[in-house]
Amino acid sequence: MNLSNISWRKLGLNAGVPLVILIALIFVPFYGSWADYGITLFSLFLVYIILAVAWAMFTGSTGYLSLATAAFYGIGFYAAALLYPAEGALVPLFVVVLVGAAVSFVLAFIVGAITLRLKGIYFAMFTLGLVLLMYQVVNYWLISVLGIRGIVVALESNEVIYYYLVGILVVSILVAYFIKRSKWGLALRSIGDNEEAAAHTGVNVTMIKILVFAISAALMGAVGVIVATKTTYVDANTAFNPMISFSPALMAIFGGMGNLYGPAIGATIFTYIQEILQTGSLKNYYMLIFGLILIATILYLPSGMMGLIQNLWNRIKGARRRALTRG
Amino acid sequence: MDLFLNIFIGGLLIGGIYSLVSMGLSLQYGVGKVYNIAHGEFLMFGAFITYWLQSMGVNPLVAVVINAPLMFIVGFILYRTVFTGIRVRSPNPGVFESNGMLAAFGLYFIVQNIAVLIWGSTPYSYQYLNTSVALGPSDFHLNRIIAAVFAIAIGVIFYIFLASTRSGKAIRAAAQDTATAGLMGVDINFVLAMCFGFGAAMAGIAGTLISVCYPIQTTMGLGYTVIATVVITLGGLGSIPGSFIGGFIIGIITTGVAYWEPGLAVAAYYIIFIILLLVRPKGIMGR
Amino acid sequence: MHLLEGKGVTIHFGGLAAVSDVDFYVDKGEVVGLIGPNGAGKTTLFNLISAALQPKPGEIFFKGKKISGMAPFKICRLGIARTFQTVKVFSNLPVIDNVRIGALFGAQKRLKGNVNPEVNELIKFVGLTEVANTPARDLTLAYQKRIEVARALATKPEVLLLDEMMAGLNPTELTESMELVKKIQQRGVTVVMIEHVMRAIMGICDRIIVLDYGKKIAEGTPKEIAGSKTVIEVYLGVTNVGSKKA
Repeated sequence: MNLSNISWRKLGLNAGVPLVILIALIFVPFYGSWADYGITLFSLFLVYIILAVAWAMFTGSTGYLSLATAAFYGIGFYAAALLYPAEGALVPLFVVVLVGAAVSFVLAFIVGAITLRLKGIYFAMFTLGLVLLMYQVVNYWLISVLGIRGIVVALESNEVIYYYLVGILVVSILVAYFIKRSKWGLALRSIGDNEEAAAHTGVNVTMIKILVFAISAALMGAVGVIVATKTTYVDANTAFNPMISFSPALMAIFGGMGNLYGPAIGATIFTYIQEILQTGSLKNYYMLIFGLILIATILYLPSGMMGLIQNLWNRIKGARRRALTRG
Repeated sequence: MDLFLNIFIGGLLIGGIYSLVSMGLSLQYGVGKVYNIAHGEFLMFGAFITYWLQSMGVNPLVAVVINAPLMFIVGFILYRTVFTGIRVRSPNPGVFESNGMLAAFGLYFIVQNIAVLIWGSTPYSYQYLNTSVALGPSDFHLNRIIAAVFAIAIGVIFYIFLASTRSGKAIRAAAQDTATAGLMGVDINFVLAMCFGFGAAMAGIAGTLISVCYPIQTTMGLGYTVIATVVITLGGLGSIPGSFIGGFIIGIITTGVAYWEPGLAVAAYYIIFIILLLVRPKGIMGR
Repeated sequence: MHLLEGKGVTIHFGGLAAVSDVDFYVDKGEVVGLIGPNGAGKTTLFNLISAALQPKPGEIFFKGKKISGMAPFKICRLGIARTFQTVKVFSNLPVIDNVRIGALFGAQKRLKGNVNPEVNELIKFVGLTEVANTPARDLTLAYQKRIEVARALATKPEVLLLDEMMAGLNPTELTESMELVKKIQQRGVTVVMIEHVMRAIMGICDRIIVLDYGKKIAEGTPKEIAGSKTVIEVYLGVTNVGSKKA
């Protein structure tokens, strides 16, 4: 085996596979009779893949368990509700997406600055509390102050929604990839391993944590905007649903967070299971199955599906190598 | 003045139940090191079992005799199967805490789903001692007074148990330092499972008391988990007296806020929580 | 002007003064030993210098500039690096990445581009070349302590604080470790070391500071300290010599 072979294979895996997937995604709406269902299903895949990738970007390396996903996603919903109502959009959709992302970024920055000094488990409690607080405050504001329950958002076509999601996915993957490959990725992992040592080795621990938390929140906010134009009706229940905090976390853990593909694979598998369950006879058992898989994953698959696949692959390669040397 | 006294008494009445729920969570997290997000689900189950028993003619307060041991056994078995498994697989306590919390999420989904399958998601309620009694400047429902007295009694009994029995001492030793307690001959797996069981039993009892006073619903659990979280943060993690006192403090504060603006009661917990985490994360009774 | 100087450094834990009114200085090029019985406040003093804790009251100066009150990462970038009594390596990262983080984030003038030559040199310097790509968690305690040294050196410090680098090492490792400290001094790095191993302290330190119950009770050359009545009393009269925890 020579060097040029290895680098080609690496390049193929790093750029080629994602490119093929991207091209396949772009053509989803053109697959004939299947396209109508396909576009809805794939939009759902994309939503959860983005949320899982964005969540894992921060939590996967730092180990800080964030349950604030629904808070930022919900901000996206309300950005759409206020700027893109059914009575007439105030600004173009891409501006709404940027606003949703920016507001989420700022809120995450503030929340991070306050809470990321806290030890792991407190942070998890705090972020879950944030979702519940936003739910209460927004609900109070809508019902008691404005006297309304929900707001209707302008409906977008399935294609527009779909391509926006593809765009946000590309941005998410690129951001995740560059953070992982850069020195900031290394710093994040050092924080996950031993925060105190990282600080004494010159890593500006607080700033890096806050920034990455805010970046991942911005992506979640952007997704929220687009989903709101699909569901069209925004109220506190749909916007700040704690399940939106839990699901992407489970998906990323199930897929495995040691690798960029892990959260994406976990999200795809789970969204599909969810689709099957919710349309089939088992639709009332979704959460039950979800919980059982979560516990089983933590007990038996600590590094997720990707970890399992990698282990198997190493074993196969090892076996092959042994066979070769023996033969 | 009467208003303050009313808020104070009302806060004490609800505070007794908060204390009980929080003492349970404090045992599970402070000693067992599992932040049990499903804690409120045990409470909800306890409330529904009580509802079911009283519909068959059992006195709701007597239902505790069935409810508490049942919850204890369920909690004990859960810890021995799921959480001990995670504990022995975790390389360090930090990993155990986060994985334990995630598994508790799994538990939350499972219990929620089962409850919704059985009882749906509409509110249930029944009447028990729904007469008014004068207490201070105004009248309070008798059932609330009885529930509060019951909660306080159980809190005190449990405290005596911790302070004076052999098992209680083992629990306190494990709360101080799990590893050392293990070296000193405490059967750690057993004691931690026992704590989890006691935590679940207290949630179950609190569920009974809540069903006596208020309408119950399968989705009510998470809200109580949040309250208990705020209380144990206030009282200091693992401090049983801290949770007991903290429950009353939160009870009084939320009653006050609810009197002024009911829609913001939950927001009030959260703001207390934020201030606490920033100012004194060890809690009022923390070490 | 001293390179590192503390004036009236004090900190209380609860009602207890862990470090109380300690004045100290470190000059460029020295190897200073910090000794004292368990619980004397040695590691606490390190934590104060590296800003894991803040003195109250008291001030610490580095090259004449007040550093108490700064964030730990800034202290590190200014040129004070440390190791830990209980090792704190990045256990899931390979040795090379442990050291790379120091080089990428710790040095004041951080290098753009390639830090690998420097990182490899340091790994060779502490003798870990063979295990450079092994995750830190798979290495022995002696190796992990050396990772901490290489990681600290990668931040290009002027002062290196070594917290019980030699505790728990076997005689061969101990000799190697003493050599290493001398080699660090030859690189022009000033060393402050907490140590219980008297052979090491007496063999390599230029000056020794003795703490007891948070107070500085003696200071001087190894010879002076070995002959000091107060120090002998503290060590033989009160606590055992050579235990591992401080």
